Amino acid sequence: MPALIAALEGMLGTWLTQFLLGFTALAALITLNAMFMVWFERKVSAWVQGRLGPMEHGPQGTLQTLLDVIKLLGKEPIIPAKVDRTTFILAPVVAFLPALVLLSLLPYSEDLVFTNAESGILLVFAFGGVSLMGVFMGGWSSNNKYALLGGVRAVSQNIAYELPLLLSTMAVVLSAGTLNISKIVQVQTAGGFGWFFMYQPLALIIYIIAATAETNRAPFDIPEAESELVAGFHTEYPAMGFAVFFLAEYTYMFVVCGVGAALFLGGNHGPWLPGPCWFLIKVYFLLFLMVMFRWTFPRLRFDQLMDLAWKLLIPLSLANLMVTALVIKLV
Amino acid sequence: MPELSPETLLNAALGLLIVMTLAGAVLAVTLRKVFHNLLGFGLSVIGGAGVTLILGSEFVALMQLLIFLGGIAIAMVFAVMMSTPNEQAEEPRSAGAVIPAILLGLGFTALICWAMLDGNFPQSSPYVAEAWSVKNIGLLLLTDYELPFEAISILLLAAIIGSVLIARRTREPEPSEEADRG
Repeated sequence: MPALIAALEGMLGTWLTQFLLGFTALAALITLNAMFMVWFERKVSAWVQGRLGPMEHGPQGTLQTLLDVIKLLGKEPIIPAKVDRTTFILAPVVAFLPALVLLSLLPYSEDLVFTNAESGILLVFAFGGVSLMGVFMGGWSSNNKYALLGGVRAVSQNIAYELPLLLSTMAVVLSAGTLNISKIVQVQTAGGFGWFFMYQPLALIIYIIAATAETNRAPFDIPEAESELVAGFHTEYPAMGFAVFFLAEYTYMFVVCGVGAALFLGGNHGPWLPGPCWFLIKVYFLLFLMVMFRWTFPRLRFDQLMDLAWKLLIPLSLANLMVTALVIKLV
Repeated sequence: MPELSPETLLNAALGLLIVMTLAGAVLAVTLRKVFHNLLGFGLSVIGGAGVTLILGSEFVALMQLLIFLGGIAIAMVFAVMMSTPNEQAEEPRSAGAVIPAILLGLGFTALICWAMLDGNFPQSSPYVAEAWSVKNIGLLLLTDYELPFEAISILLLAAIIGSVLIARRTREPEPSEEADRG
């Protein structure tokens, strides 16, 4: 491996080699995470419901997702006749592309940071908006009323929950005094300060609820509620179009949980194990919580969903922010 | 093969982003469907944010993405509600609307160009994030530019109160609806 890297550096130069290596690593992370999450989700749902879940392929059915991917790759990509062709084809791409940028912003350990952006947190949420456009493009271009309704719901839900999501992280930003995710992790690991969830428990709760809603996960999955809207915005997408939407969804789950782990749970900080291990453990703990939400809470009705965001979460997070500012000023 | 320096790549990216911004702007005015126009505008905004990012103003770029993309998504929903259905062919634009629009656009561009060439802007070094960081912008807003900052806050507050008032007035329940709930 080091020999290969040295050979690459000789050919392309240090900078481009680093870029290519980072790109490849993140692409691998996206694929592996999605494959693991699909299997994990099916297993957890099976345990919750007293079933076994996938068991046939590999130990505990671990190879099931790999075979699913091969099946999806072999399927015919159908484009319905009356869709808006260009937008229809572009939609999954637009939904997926920001995922790579977002993954490069997470602090995997002190040394392993792909992009050390000074306003990293804002960058995460800004690029989330790009993928929302992809979802709505898919919903509109499908020329299907269920898909369109799903898209419209996705927009209103994402706009509503982006506010508490941002406001809850701002309380942490205020305490840490920086928008840089790596620096926020450093503040928590520096001598005896402790992780931010101890100081900001309310912000953590608001963050997890809003993050679940931002990623369109149950109990907030009304953009794709199967009992009302067939499959919502991706109704008309077969084969890889569908797969790319799901790849994007699982990557966003990883990203919001990664930001949550970095902001509230000390990122790569922990005893004995190396940094990236701790980071992944924390991320998958938060992901496990999100999966459990899906199988324990019933889906919210649309007006309940909006009430929760505008009447409860936003005022709460604003109050939390003000109290935080006051305490910082006084202490 | 000569080593590709980060500066060369950044310059190439800058050129690409400028082309993207202009292409998005052209799409935004030439396409016939409102939804496509908004997508073109979105492309233009993303390109513009990229240019701002490369020129070293990370915060402004991010705010542009956060605010404009959310705004475009909402505008799309309204566009869907108000425009003609997908399957219906759009009528061609009338010359009576196109020509004044072109003249107005050109006039505005000329005005902006004149103001920019005439004005004296402080030069910030490119590719440096420090000059226009969140901290500096925040300090400037609360010291040198406090009056405009407060004025904008009041404008926003008035807009919020206005929208709440409008929403209230139209949401009064009908007597029949009241009976349904009872």
